[in-house]
Amino acid sequence: MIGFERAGLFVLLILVPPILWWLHRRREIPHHHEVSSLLLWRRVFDDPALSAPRRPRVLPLVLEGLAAAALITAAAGPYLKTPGATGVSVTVLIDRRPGMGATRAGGGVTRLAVAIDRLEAWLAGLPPGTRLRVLTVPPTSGSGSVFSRGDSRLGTWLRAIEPARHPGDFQAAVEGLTAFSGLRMVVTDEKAPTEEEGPSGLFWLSVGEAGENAGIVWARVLPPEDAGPGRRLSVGVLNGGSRPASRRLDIATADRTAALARIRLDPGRVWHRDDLSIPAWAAARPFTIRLISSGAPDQLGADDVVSFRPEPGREIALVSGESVPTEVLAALGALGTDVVQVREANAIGKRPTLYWKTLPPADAAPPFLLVATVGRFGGLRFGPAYRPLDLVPGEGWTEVSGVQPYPRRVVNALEVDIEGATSWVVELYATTSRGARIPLVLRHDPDEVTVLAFDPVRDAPAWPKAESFPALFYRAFGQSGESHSVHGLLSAADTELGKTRSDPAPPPETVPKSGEEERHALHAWVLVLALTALAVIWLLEV
Amino acid sequence: MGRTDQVVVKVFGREEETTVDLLLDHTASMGIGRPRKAETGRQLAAAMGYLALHSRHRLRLGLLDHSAGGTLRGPYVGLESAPMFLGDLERVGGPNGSAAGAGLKAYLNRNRRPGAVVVISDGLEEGDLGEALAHLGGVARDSTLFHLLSPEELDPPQRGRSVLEEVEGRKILSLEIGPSAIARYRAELAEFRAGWERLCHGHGVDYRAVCSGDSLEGIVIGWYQARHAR
Repeated sequence: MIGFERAGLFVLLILVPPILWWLHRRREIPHHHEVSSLLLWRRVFDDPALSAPRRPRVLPLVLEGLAAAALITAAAGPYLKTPGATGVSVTVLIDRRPGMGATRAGGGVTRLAVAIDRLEAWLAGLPPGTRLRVLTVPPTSGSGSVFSRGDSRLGTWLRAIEPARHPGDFQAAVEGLTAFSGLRMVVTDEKAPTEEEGPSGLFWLSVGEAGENAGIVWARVLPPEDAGPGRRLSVGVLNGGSRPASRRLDIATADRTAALARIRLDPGRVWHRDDLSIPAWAAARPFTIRLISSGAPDQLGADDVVSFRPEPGREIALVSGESVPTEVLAALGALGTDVVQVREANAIGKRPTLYWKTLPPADAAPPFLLVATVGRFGGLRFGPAYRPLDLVPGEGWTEVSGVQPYPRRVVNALEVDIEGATSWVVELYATTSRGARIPLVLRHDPDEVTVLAFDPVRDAPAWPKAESFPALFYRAFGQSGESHSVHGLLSAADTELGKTRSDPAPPPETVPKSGEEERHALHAWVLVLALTALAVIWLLEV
Repeated sequence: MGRTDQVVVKVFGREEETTVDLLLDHTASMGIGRPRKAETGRQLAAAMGYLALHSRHRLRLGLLDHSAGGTLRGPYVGLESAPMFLGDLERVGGPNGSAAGAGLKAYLNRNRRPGAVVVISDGLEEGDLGEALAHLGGVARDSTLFHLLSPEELDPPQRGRSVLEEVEGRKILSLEIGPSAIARYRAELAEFRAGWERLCHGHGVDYRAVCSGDSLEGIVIGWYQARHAR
């Protein structure tokens, strides 16, 4: 298919016929010259060859028109569009930092192995002739090599990649991908960045399941009245793996970093501190706390990062790396609530799942729980103790669900009235859109609410018990003194959630498999045509 | 050494009594060209005349066209007559005559044994001029033809459909001039000049092909060097 870069120039074709007619007329009008003598000219035109009748002038006129049209066409920048006949050019960056060595708590394949399997499956669907360049971060032997699709050495090389013992500059490697043309993909256990956070035009193949092996499970800046001079952090870290973990907890602003603590945890243990001092240089600025791998292969997965943004007069615990819940939490925090988001540590591409609020029990008013989560509830069990009760929806609770004005991402919202119980347990049996079951257990004690969220376990029994799988612990302290309506809370959340990215990075299956359309400039050929026409005209004149 | 103590170079022969006749083509065709052939011819005549006067020859000036009848102006003798000569040359009007050949024949009728004769003409006429020049070579002691053409005659600028009008006689020729016609013209021009050269050499006339765009100095020095080389 032929296209033109400057098709507007074709309007000049309108001028060609009148110009040619003018040139023709000008050529036909004889010019008068006074000469000293016709002596020599008569001898010239005594030559029969020169005295022959004039050949018709139509052909030169046609050729002139053709040459003019060709020149205009050349100026319009013609090109021939062809599909990438040579196949896709793909550049893949594989994350092989220590976190990619994480396995499921029960053992099994590493994230890196899972990623390689998925990558190979995706590559098998690419067209023949695809050229694949594979990079790793940190670099490994052969990083940067180019393979052709179907090259058996590619699979051998991919499967030989091992998780590194030392971290690499992942961010720099991702940004370096923009230097390559064609399809660019990042294979990692980190979640895909938002458009504001990372370079655009990259596809993410993410591995790692929500809630794997935990990491930072809570982090909170304590209210000023609870602390002495300076500000303090409350942080909890869970080792949900089956190996001991040793990590450093750093605090960092844009231009400075310091270590907060050194954490060593046996499997299944939770480390927490409520007295981590926030340095003065970080107290009034946005800062992050980061759980950094020391390089020793543990199973905590990628480095955890929790961001804090100081809000004057209020404390907001941001237990998430996602900007969306950050905004939501900020909005809800503006309402004076203590908000904790169930953070699926090391979650990849997951959406915020839970908001809750408790109201302090007035003397007569019973407390209630608002539980809003992605996915549909398959059941509800409620009781003062942690044991199933045969309750069906509608008994003792009110379901608040719908589309508007509730957050679009929230499928179900439950307003649970807890009558008269000083301690209670609510179990929600939720199902995500992908079918994974997320049991949620809320346990209320007089002074605190504990929210337990469990990993989606595909092969879990119908109603798992809390002890049978890893757990994420979230602890909320204190209660607000205000009451808010369900609708008000959900409306606020809806406003913020409306700003989220609508879709995650498309799965590899949706990646176009054809190569980039190629353009072959044609103006040189058209110019040759024009020059040829002009040359023929000249020869005819001669 | 002549009668004075000055060294005098005789360019037209050793004898002081040699008469040098400058014959300037005064036909209308000499009025064409950039520079005009008539102007260059006049300048050349002035230079040659001055040389003759400096050589203490007797100098006469004549115009070649059918109406001049072979009459001559002068004689001018000695450098003191140079102003008069140049004044007469300047007063020669624009060329508007015809038939330079007839004019040369008339001159030869009046001057049966000319001395040194310098003819300045474009030679663009057939018949009489060639005959007269051949006759001149046979009777003159020393004769030179400066065959003067203009740059436009050497390299015609006309192209395409053209109507050419001859300045003498006002004849018209309509034609289409293209690259092949130009090439043919150049061939005819070369043959035209060669024909004049052959005629001159065949009758003892010194032939000099010059262009009105040439420098006067180059024309005169070239002529002098060629004479000196003989």
